[in-house]
Amino acid sequence: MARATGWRRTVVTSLVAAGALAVGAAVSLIVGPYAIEPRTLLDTLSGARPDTMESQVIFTIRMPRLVAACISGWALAIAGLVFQALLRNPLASEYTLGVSSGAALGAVAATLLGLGAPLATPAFAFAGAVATIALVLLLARARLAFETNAAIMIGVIFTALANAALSLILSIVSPYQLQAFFFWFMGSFAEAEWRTLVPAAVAIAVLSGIIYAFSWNLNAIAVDEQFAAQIGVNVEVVKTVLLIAASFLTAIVVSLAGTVGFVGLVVPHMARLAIGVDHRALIPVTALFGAALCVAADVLARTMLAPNELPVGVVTAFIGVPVFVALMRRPRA
Amino acid sequence: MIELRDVEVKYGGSSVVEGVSFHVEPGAFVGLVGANGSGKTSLLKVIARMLVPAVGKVLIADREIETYGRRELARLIAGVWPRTPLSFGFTVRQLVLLGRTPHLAPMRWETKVDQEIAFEAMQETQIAHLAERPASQLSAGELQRVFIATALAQQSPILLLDEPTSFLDLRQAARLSSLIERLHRRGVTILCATHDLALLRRHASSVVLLADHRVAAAGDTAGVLVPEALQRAFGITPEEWYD
Repeated sequence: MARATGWRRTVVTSLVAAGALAVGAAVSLIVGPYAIEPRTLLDTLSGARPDTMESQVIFTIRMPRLVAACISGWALAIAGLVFQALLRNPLASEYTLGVSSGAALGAVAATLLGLGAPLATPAFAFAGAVATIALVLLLARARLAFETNAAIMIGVIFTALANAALSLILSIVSPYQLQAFFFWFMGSFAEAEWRTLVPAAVAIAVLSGIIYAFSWNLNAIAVDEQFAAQIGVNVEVVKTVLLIAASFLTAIVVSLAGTVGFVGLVVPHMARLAIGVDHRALIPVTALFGAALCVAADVLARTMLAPNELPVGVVTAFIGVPVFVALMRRPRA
Repeated sequence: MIELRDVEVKYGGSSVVEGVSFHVEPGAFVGLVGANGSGKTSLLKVIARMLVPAVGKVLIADREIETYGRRELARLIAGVWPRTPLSFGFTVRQLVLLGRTPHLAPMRWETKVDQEIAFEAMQETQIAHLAERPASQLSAGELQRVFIATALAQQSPILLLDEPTSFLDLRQAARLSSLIERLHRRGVTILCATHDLALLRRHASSVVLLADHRVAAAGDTAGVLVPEALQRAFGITPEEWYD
């Protein structure tokens, strides 16, 4: 029976993704300028070596960074999946729709205005993200028919504009501020701190739960909006809630780590290829894939040119683009 | 079963149809005919509550349509509409199972009974052998039968069809026509907007003809689909018609 096969596939895929995430997490805690032996890592994690240099490195530097990569990948992948399903367009994502850039502009605005309070950056990023998606969809809708390709084109153009604005800001700020602004541009998990990670993780968990509750309806909307309305789905309400939730997820990640591109674009394709199109299974599997990808990308960003560190957005682009091209050459996933 | 009272539909201030009243009896097969832009699809959308009329009332099973919940209405009315091309690889089985949506409690997966109902709908529409195929790989005729199967899985007593035979070749159109006839004989109330007058002449008990934004004629199929009425609705002479 197809459903049983589908379940087996979903469970096996989830286990493989969780395994990859666990391996990536272990590597991420071990490697770095201060190398830590696997044995020492296990002892430290079990609490057997408190107040050592190793426990300092693991719990205050590497663990927050690992958690940031993990929840960012999780959130971006779900956001990308939601945008693709709502727009019925495999090219949609928070990155191609300009939502990430809108959030980054919002975050930069908060910094420029000197609003350093912990809530100001995510609040401005969220405002930037929601304003962008609303603008992109309104402009696309202005063509009367709701054209999803038009939304992508407008999103890409908006991203170019936002990047130009960010470049302009980069060229006029003081060298001292340059590093901080560069962070919004290409993404990094290096700045992660527990005091921002904990509320971010809670918010991402709540938003993921809300999105999952709508995954039944997302299946119908991913077929066709009229079709969804016909089988009893309140399309406008579901779309509004999900667009806001996906924008919020993006804003949280941008506040934590800047713009990390291609995760939301590529990961949903990989997950669909592995388990099919049922969003009730796709949401958790996509989230696990996204977390594993970001953790792996962060390890590469830290180690490839060590002691120099690459922005993680550079690594996700280098991984994402070839994977995306390869996936797009396959039959429809 | 379906009643429209003095319905007017407006898009951006201008009326598409106005003063439309008609009644569809339970178990009837009614055709909706008119030129492109005459408001056939708008009327079907009003009956499916995808559009709210500017004026007038719509009653489904003697109750005003606004008093129904969305899922409740979906258990009464199913529809097959022109669609955008499928973007993702949904299988035929997944699409047909989606027809069970209005019968599922929130966040509940389909039960064995739902699977059986979907399977029966696929058998009825002769697509059971395609169940695991991605629907995006099917022909237009097969895909149309998939969406009729979805509507059947919905188990609604009313079926709205919007141009069901457009884009189908003769063989596929004939198969679809006999499928629609089978559903009608099973007691499904059918309202079908179409340019396929042969389909209506064979199966429809009555026809509503739209012209000049209004109902130009309504009643027995043979009595409505006469050259004079068609000339008024489509603006061509019987000679041009038969050319």
